[in-house]
Amino acid sequence: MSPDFLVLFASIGWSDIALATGETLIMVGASLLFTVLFGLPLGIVLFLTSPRQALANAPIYGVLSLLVNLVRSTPFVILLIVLIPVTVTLIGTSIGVPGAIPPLVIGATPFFARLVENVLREVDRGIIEASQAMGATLPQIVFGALLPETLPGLLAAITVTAITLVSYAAMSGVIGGGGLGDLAIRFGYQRFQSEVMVVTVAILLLLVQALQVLGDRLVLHFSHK
Amino acid sequence: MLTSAADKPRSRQQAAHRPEETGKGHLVIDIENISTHYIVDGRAIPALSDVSLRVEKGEIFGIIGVSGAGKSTLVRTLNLLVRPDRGRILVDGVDITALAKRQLQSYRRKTGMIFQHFNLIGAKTVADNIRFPLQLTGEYGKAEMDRRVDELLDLVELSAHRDKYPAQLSGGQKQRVGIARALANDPNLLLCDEATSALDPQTTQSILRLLLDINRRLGLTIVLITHEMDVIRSLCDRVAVLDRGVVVEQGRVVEVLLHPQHALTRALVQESADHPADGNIVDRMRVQGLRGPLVRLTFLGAITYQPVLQRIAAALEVGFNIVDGVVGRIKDTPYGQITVQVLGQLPDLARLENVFGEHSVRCEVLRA
Repeated sequence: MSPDFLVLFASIGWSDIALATGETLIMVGASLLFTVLFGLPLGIVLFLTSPRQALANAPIYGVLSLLVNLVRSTPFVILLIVLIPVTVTLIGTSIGVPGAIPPLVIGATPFFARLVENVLREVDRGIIEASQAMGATLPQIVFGALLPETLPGLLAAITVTAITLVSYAAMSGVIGGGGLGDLAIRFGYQRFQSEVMVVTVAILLLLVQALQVLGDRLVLHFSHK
Repeated sequence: MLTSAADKPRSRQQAAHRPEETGKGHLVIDIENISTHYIVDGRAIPALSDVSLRVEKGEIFGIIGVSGAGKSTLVRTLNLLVRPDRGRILVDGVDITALAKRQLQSYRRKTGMIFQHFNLIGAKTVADNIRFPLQLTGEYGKAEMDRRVDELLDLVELSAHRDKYPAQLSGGQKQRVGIARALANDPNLLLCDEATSALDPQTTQSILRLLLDINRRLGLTIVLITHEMDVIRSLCDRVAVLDRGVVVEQGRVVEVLLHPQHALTRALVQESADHPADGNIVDRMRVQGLRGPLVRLTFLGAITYQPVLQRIAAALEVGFNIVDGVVGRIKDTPYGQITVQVLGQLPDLARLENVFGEHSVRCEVLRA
């Protein structure tokens, strides 16, 4: 390794980077938790109210679908800005790690819900029919048959969502969200410290890679095809 | 059965313990004039039109028809997976179309169903698939469920596979899991939706034997649908033939198979194996230059193995030349159906018919 290369990285504040990485992990972890918490039921409702399903209901499905599309079609940067008043109302601040979490959850929930809907749609109708024939109630069908049957698909959807949240979390640096994105903007962009940018991107890449490998392992573990 | 009012509760109780004795003759299902439809491109197409059927307790009732005849729809009305637009379905006198949601769920728990494509939950092991219907009732403790699952695994001979997943099983094994699952809550009725259509012939035979065994051991009423006459022949007591949503013929299997009335039934009987293509026997004999009367004789039951032909030939001083025929079994009933040329001087066909009738052999004159 050339001395120049080491000198380049010597100027980096590693403690800042460690702190920012920790913040990013917290933002991604917390927002993933809430996204799954809200998105899974929303996805299930989307699925059940869609045409020819157990609770087929065109008006409800139409409204939910429109809301999901509305959020998904808004660029996340715009969503971040638009949601500032909402975030302030919810938790009293719109900056830092806590301030980033509401827009992350609101941005990712419709995305995750749509993935859940699609995963559930892949279930063989015969399994639902067999459960009905056994006298299962709707909650029993959902929790006893649909969710166990789609667990690998749901884990894959959570993985994709987690990775999306990594990039959303980095973007939230634009509005002072904290974490690696914030670091990259303040040092890498505003102070022209390209090396900080490089390190930030490298850490994000590692994070995404780790999430993907973990997700794939879990999917494989729960697949019985 | 003649019983005083006071006797009734006692005889009911006995019925519960000895279904095989008291089951026969007690009405279990009465489908009354049901019609259903399905929607294609926003238009309602009739699926079943004014269908009426009666299924007796403890019997195996078959519904046969070509694809698109409405068989799947008909069998699904029996657990209301398909709800008829009109008509009633009485099960032991109770109209199931009028049941409230809760009642329907408990009725379904007592009505097992198996499917052409098994419909097992791929994420659950064999044991957990069988446990699922038990869990749904909320009535069993863990130990009780384990015991019941073991019993059922034993019944379908899958004890060695209890912790496997469906994807690791063969088609026949999957259907055995389906059967065990359908029997878990000790049903009164088992519905079979083309249960053997996805299986090879050998596996089909083993599944049919299992169903017959279950029917006998548990006294369980079975309603099955199929497009294969062989399934009807080897398993069913009575059969209904369905054509474009209409029942065109129904009756005892031996009667329908040996004397099909409707053109579709005749076609289905002739398609199935080991039965003579007797549609044009008279023409074929003319081509062969065979003269004289032709009669078709149908033997049913023990008489099949008696030398009736020889006795009658001696008594009436006629000869019989067998030109076509088959001897076999329909379920447990031995039968023979042969076409004979009657030899001799001016044989008296009316007398011949009478004499065969006295021997319980049905005699039809095909050509005088």
